[in-house]
Amino acid sequence: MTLDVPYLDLLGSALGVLLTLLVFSYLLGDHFLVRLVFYGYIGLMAGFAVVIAFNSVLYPLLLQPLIDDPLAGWMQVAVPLLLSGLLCFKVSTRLSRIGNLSLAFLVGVSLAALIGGAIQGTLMPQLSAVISPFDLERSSVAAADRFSGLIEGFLILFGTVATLAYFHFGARPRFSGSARRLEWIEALSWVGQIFIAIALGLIFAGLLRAGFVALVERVQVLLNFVITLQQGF
Amino acid sequence: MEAQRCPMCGRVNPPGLEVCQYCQARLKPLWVEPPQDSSPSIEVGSTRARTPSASNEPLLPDWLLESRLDLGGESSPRMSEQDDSEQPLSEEASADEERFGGLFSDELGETEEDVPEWLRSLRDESESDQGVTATAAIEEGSEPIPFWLDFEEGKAEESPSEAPPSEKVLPFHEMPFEGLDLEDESLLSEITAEAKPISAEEPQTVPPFETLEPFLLEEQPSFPPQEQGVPPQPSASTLQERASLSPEAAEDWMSEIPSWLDALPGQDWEEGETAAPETPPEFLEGIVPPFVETEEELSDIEFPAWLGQIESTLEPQLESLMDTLTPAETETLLQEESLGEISQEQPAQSLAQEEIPVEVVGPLHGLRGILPAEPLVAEQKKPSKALSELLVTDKQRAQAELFLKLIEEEGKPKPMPSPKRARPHILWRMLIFFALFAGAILGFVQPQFATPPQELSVGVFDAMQAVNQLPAQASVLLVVDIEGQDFAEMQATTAAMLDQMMIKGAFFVLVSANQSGALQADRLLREVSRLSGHQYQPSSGWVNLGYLPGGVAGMQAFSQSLTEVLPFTIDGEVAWQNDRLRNIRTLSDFDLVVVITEDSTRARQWVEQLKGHVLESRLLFAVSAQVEPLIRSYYEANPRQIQSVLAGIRDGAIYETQTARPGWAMKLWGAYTLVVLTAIALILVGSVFYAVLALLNRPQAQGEGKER
Repeated sequence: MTLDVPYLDLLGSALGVLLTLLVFSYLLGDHFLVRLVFYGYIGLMAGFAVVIAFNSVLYPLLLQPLIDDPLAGWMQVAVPLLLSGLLCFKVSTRLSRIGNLSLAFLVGVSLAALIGGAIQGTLMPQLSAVISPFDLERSSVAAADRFSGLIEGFLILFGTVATLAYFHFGARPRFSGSARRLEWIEALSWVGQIFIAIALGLIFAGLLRAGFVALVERVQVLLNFVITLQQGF
Repeated sequence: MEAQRCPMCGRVNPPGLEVCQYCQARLKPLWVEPPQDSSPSIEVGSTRARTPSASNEPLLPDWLLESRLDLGGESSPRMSEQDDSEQPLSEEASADEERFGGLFSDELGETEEDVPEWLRSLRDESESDQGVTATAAIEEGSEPIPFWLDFEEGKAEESPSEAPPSEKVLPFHEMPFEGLDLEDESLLSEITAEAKPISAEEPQTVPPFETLEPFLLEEQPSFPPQEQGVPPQPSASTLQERASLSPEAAEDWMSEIPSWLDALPGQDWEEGETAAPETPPEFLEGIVPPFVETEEELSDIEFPAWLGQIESTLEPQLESLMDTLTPAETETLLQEESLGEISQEQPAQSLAQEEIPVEVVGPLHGLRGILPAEPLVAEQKKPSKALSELLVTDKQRAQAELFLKLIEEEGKPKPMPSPKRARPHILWRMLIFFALFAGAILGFVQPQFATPPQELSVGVFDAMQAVNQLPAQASVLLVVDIEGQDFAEMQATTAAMLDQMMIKGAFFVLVSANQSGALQADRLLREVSRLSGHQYQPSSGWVNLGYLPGGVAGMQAFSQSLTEVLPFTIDGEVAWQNDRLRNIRTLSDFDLVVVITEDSTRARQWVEQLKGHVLESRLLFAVSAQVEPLIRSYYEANPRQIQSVLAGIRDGAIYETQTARPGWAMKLWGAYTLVVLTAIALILVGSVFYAVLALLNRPQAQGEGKER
């Protein structure tokens, strides 16, 4: 028995509609069907991750070399396999220290890449971007717009400093035992809060917009399903 | 030898020590009874006094040693006489023992330790008293007795039980019963119950002089005032000796002052000299009458006039009353008067004397009041049973009951107050949902309500320029790091750009740094190809390299040598042997690199790791609207780190509008616009509503704050 493609698409669409309605039913509160959908999604993603890890990592990088050329394959995978095997000792609380070597290797490499990338890719370019508006000779902005660029540069610099001042937690102790930041840092941090609030407002607005797009897309799926049903029957 | 316990502090000392190593109290008495004298039980009428020898009491004065030696020589006839007097009593006692089963017998095996302390002191005192009275009884027929002693004897014979020993002797001293409530009736009844057998037994054997104190049997010597503080109490033997002496000899004995007493200070007064009578100070003369001792002195006193008037009125009445009495009644009244005077003096005097203990051992044997604390402290060996019982007052009992009640209440489980959970505002949820849902439906049904975006943003312009500059059959690397829930937005954002690339015949290489990204990338290209009418298929239109493991490290490794990190496609085929990819060895070989993500962290990591490996002019970012504020700083920096940024459905709709190819973004744009407007309206209405509500509740809140 075979099903035609339109029926399969309709069945898939019906399943999608059903799951969508179940998710929408969360408006009435948490219940079994909603949890069933959530847990099903989490389980599906976990199973999919295992399959992806095997297909994308284990098989091509570990098994395939051994199958193709065992001698050369062993030479290739010996060190990664040893380090991976040491990680298995992390399961045991008594022998977990053996796996620290592999874990240290992973953390060290990851941190090195992260810090190096952050310094070269974010910190230094952003510092340069903040300073560059004040370099009038090397500025790419036209001469007519240099004044506005200079003002923009001041604004960016002030916003950056004010935002960083908000995260300055150094304070001097007082006779009363309390600690309070310096007055000018306190005032600067108050201005920094405004910049942070604007940035977080933008992020929240973007989150809402993304959510609205998802809602609109689900509504379109429901409408298409209804239209398909109307057209089909 | 056994360890010995200190009678003072109660601590155990090693054997052989004579002094306690903790409190320096003497552990062994100075004089120990001979073994043959300790065995006999206490007999009624006999004394436990021992006659010390001169060898073991070298400190005794000569006159005391002589008197005791003399008494020792007369002890045997005294004891024989005493035995004769006790013979009929022993028969009666044996009959009583048979009747009471030997309950009150001393031969029940009652040891010295079983006897309570107060009973032992009672027996000691009664023994000493009986010894004194026995010596007085011996001399009863031979010596003349003073008139007051005669009266006392007759009184004792007439009513021997008027002053029983149990009433005279107070068994409660200070130290053994310290802390006891002597007013407790139960305790007193218990003590009197223990004392009853003695009081019931002793009246049969009390001699006529038992109730008399030793000091009554001696004449008061005229000691100087400074010696009266420590009066030497004569022992029984001394009293016996004095009683046997004639009045002249007694005077000689009294006038004979021992040598040790002669050496005391203040002895230089003349013999026969008496102490001067006490005279009031000069300032009290005329205010306080002098002490009157004789009737002659009384007649010299001048009484006030009002007292004389009373006397003058009472005397005739008394004389008339005396005339009416008969001689017999007058004699009776005189006797009663004399008896009343003696009985009034006796209790206080006897009580004061009975409270003073008599020494029974050592050089001070027979003396009273020399070491008053010794029998109370040194002889305490066995605490009374009453001491082990907890004495609780009513107040303490009430407090203890209250404390126990509090403990019980604390131990009872108390129901936990159910936390107040915020009720889900289902009504508000449903209202907001249906408003947004209605806006979306209306947007789909009536798309003309939303006008398409016309203005061209800088980011879209740069993106269009970069796509337009792509050569034909260009190779494009698509980094797709999106999750399923954001697929619609990312599709709307990138659909127009991908459509333009497909028009140019670009070949796509797909890679993803998250596990579901590979499938989402494949789905994205399929959907764009389907909606835009292209015939793009895998391997001919794109190669999916799949999942890039390792996070940041994987990105860095991929940026440095992509062919070694990801040699195979997601289908297991060799990726870099495709004809379209033969010239690709590094990232810089791609004509364009597009990063599509909805994660700000992942976007920043890709920017950081791709820097230096991809030209900025060939790097595009298509991100979600929520990532735009963070990624835009890389785009608007000077110099730029990325060529362009497409953010959200708006930039996608602009791209489609500019290219005049409405696609996925424009399909959703109408509904999206109405939903956003509805959301803005709801936010405004909700803000105004809660602001008004807060203003209305402000006076009430201020009132509650003032009350607090």
